[in-house]
Amino acid sequence: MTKTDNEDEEYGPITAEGEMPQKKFYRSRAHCNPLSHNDTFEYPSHPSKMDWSSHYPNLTSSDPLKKIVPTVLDVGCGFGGLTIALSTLLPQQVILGLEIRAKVAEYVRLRIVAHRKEYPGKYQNASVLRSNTMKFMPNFFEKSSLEKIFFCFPDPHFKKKNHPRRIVSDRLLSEYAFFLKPNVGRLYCITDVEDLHNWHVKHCRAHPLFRELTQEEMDQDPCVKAMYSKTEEGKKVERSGTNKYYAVYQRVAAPTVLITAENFFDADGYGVISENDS
Amino acid sequence: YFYIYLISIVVSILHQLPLIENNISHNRYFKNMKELISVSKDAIIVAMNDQAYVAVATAEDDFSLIQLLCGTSLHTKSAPTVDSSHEEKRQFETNNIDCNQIQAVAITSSNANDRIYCAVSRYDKSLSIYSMSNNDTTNIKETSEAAPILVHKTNKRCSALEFANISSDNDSSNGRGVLDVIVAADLAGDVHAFPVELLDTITTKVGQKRFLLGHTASMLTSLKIVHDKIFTADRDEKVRVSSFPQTFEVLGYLLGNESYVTDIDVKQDKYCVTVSGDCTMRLWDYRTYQEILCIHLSRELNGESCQVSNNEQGVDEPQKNVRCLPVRVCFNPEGNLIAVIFNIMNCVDIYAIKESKGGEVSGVQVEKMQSIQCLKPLGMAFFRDDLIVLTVEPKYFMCFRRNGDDEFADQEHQCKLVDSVRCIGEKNGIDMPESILEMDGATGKIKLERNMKDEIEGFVEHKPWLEGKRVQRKREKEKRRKKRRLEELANQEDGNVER
Repeated sequence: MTKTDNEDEEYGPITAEGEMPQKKFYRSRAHCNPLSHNDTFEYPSHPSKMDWSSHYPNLTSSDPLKKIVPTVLDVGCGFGGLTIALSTLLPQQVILGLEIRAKVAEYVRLRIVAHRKEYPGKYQNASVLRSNTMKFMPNFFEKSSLEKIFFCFPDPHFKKKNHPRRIVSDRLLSEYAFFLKPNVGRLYCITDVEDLHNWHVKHCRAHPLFRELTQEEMDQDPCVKAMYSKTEEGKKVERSGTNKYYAVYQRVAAPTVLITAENFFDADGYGVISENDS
Repeated sequence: YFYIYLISIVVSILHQLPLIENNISHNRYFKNMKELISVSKDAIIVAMNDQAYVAVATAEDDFSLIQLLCGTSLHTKSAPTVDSSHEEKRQFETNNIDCNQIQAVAITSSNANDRIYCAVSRYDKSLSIYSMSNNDTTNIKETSEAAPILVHKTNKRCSALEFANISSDNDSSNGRGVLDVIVAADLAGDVHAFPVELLDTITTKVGQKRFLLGHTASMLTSLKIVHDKIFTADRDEKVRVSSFPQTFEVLGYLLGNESYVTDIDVKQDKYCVTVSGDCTMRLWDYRTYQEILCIHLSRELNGESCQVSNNEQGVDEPQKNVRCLPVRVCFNPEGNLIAVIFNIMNCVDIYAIKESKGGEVSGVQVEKMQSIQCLKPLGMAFFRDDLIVLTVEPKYFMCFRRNGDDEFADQEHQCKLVDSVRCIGEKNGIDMPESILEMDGATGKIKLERNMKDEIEGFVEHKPWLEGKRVQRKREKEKRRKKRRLEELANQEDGNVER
């Protein structure tokens, strides 16, 4: 190991801070196991102990009593296309991208630093965090603190035994509903795999704390257009010419269905599994 | 002389019982039993290796014992394919595990009718439900048997079971529920609810179950249902509080433990106590999701001592203290005592809760009241006025009652239940496990612990973006390629000129 240390001292890191990173040095395998217990992630034991000022060094809160916390999440941000786009589209919100792969998260971090240097004053409200969304969201975020969560082109995990790894599932929707502000919070999902889109729609509709937005409501939301065209994966899909499917859900304050003894095992209830169901 | 020699060997082996045993015999590696004892108003259920017994309290001190039989697959979900059942059988054979080993037990007295329901979940992922009448006092002398009324198949092994009531639409003012369900927490992080009985009005098929909530990517270690809330504790230091039965609504998280949570218990109105792998016991107020106090559990190697700290104050532990890993905790019915048992230790610790004068939650104090000496307890519960403890052979079962000094004393010869359970254990030669935590065969560590890569020798974290070498290598490669291309062009030109 000493040999490489000496060589590193001569060459330094691949991209200097402030330089725009090149994607070819940060390519990483597309699939990662989110259920692994042995990965080393850093996370605070309680969200109140998390200091976001290292992520947003030049951002000052309008209200001196309130800390800076992220309000918009881009889960699985990839190479950061949407995170950067949302930063200018929603200048009043604090954007955070979450990515589980180390190399790609580092790429996004360098990209944001380079953007901040090139356009002074802009992109101060965007940052990235390397973390496993499925496990550690309660450690970072407080209840009802998020306004938007984006799931852009998530890993479809086609095999049935891998369905628990999908980022949108019954279990996780309850957690997302806990973090979204009632009546204001929105959940956006877009994918080019029709099977996955049907899965998203089925589970979000069955969840009593989410309401599906109509097409007019979706057209009025500028974030939908950003999600459609600004992500790296989205641009790749456009070039190849396949369809994109999207849906947006609003977090409602009171559950739409109350569970009682009568409907506990009803066939269409949230979470009811009968013999042939997946 | 030969016989004396034999007897002396046997006696010397029996005398080897050190206070804290560190060696775990190899054939006990794979057992993961969590809840081995559970109590309800009138009955106790205990699990001894692969047999379960229910003791129904009849008269003052009398119990009638019922043995719970394993069910064959009477009613199961769609039969597994041939391949999977072969795989399962092969797995069991290689691990030498009896697939009837009990993982968790639960018992309740139903509100709707005068019956007692119990549930047993076993290693082969079966969840059996038994039903017995409360008034059956016929067999006191002999042990009767009961077959399961319903057997469910779960996806993964269950680590915690609890019975619950779902109230009806019409009965919302009345607290008593109508539908009894068994709620099971499994090792994949999911909590499912299964029907207890097949009633024509509510469920039609046996395979029906309801997914209540899930901790993704984690294992559940404990589950408690109190009135309209459900508490679930997992391997990632979190305790999640959700509404019940509207389990899709998360109410809050109790965060603050630094290692996997091994057990939780909840008292009716405000307290929740957790014990975890970082060797602490924490008391929480679950209305505000705040930690009230934290106690570091440790004891000196020679004597006993316990370090207590409140909230932020840390106490330095002297070097000779041994940290004890707590595995089970429970409140007594009044809510003023907490009992804790540890992993492979010969004691049960009792703590007393002292409320503050003004009734504020922050002024609560918890002090160690007594440490009961008892051989390797595996499970405990407060039943009426007594503390009953399930332990290893040869005693199997012990019962403690508070005497005049307010201390718990062994009721060795006054408790009939103890005698009957001990008889069963001795008669069948039951081998109780050493510990209720599952150990990994390869590394010898507890499976709930994180396998941190830092601990592997020689591990260096891979941060390829810090290696500037790669850029240099790529540039040199491009240079070489360009040179080669120019040479080739030059050769071609020469070739053309020559022609």
